[in-house]
Formats: sequence, structure tokens, C-alpha cells
Amino acid sequence: MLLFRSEEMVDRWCRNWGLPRGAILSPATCWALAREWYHDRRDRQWRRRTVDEAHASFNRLGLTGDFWKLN
Amino acid sequence: MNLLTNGFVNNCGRLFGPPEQFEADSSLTAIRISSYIPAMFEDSALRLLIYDEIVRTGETPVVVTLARLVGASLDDVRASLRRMHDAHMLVLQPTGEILMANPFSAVPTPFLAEVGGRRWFGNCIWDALGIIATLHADGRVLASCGSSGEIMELSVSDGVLAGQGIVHFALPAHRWWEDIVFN
Repeated sequence: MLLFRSEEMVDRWCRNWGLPRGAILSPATCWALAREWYHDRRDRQWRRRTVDEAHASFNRLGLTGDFWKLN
Repeated sequence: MNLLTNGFVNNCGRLFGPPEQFEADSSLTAIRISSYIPAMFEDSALRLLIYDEIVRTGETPVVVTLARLVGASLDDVRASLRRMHDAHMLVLQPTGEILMANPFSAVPTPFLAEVGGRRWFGNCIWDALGIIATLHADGRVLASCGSSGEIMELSVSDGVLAGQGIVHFALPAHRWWEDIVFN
């Protein structure tokens, strides 16, 4: 997951790596995802999310569709 | 010139210098050493210790350090780390040392998170922001544009992010663990 100056820079990276464009997020959405994913990482009760829990986290942020399916 | 990238190349990640040792007196570091010394330590206790050591020292503890801290054998610590690696709770290097205790990276990367004047490396832009989220503090991320290498900055204040740019997730979620280092 990389940060780019512009969509043109994303396309250049994809050409260089021979990969199709993946998913584009705004920095604000990525920050929301970071909070959703990591806010409790240092809690004693932390455990890995189940697939359903992870999907629910993505859905809450509007990250839907096949790209965000873990299985 | 991209100072961030050049720093990584020329100084092996030491452009910003190694994080200084500091006393565990801030809200970032709730030291829970007493909980790490059960007669038979559990993976969850070791996991917490790893994170607290990263936050306390700015560096990822190595196996011998963890063994000393929990009073366990090197083999027991390595076995615990391997179980957590296999469970995708952390990522090990081929040597068995920790590479990633997400969101933290044990090695320098182009994703530097800064909180309270202290610095840690993230594994990617998601993880660099995740460091700020994990520490529940304001902070900023210095990163390089994935194509041009130009330095970029995102900052978080009172939970609100500021900064420009575009985040690209190259691989779909079901492929993230195929090659977690590339991802």
C-alpha cells in the first residue's frame, strides 16, 4: 500500500510493475482504515479479526466489492 | 533531491538516526513487565511485550532480548514467534527474528511515523498511519511517492488527517498474505 502524488503516478507504478490498477483511497479513508484496523492492536484482549469481522470493518468505510473480499 | 529515499539508501535507514532510549514516563508506554513473567508465558503475553518494547525503545526486540525479558529459552520464544507468524499475527524474517509486528516494521522503510518527537517505521502507508492510530496520539507520516520518490507528508491532529496524495492498494484483499512483504 503506497502513497502517490497523483493518479498519473499510480498508473506509472502499475506500468512499471506490470500490474493492473488496484483500489484507490483518499488519505482520509486510509486513516480511517488505519484507525479501524489498529486502534486496539496493543490491547491485551486483541485477537485477529475473523473474515466476517474484517469484511464488516471494510464495509463500515465503504470499502466494498470483490477487491475487499478476503476469501 | 529526495532526502527520505536518499537517507534510506545512503545511511541504511539512519537518516533520522536511531530512536533514542527514553524513560517509560509517557502516555505512549504503559509498561506491563510484571505480566510478562508467568511460569509458562503465553503467546499473547509475548505479543504485548513485543509491542511495548517497540514503543519503549523505538526498535523491535530480537529473540535473545525477548527470552531474557520473559525468562524463557530461546527455543520457546522462537516457537511462540513461529506460531504467531503462522497465524498472521506478525511476520518473521528467514532468520526467525521479527520483520513486522504490524503496523511496525523492524527495518527502515519509506514510511516514517512520528509521534511526540519519536519515530517508528511502518510497513506501508496504511501501517504508518496505523502507528499513529495504535499510539492514540497526534502525529505525522513522512513517505515517498511510490513513483517519483518525492517526499510527502500526512499529519493527524485531534483525530483529523491533513495532507495530499492518493493511496493505492495494488493487490486485492484475498492476496495480501501471498507476499506480505511486497504488499
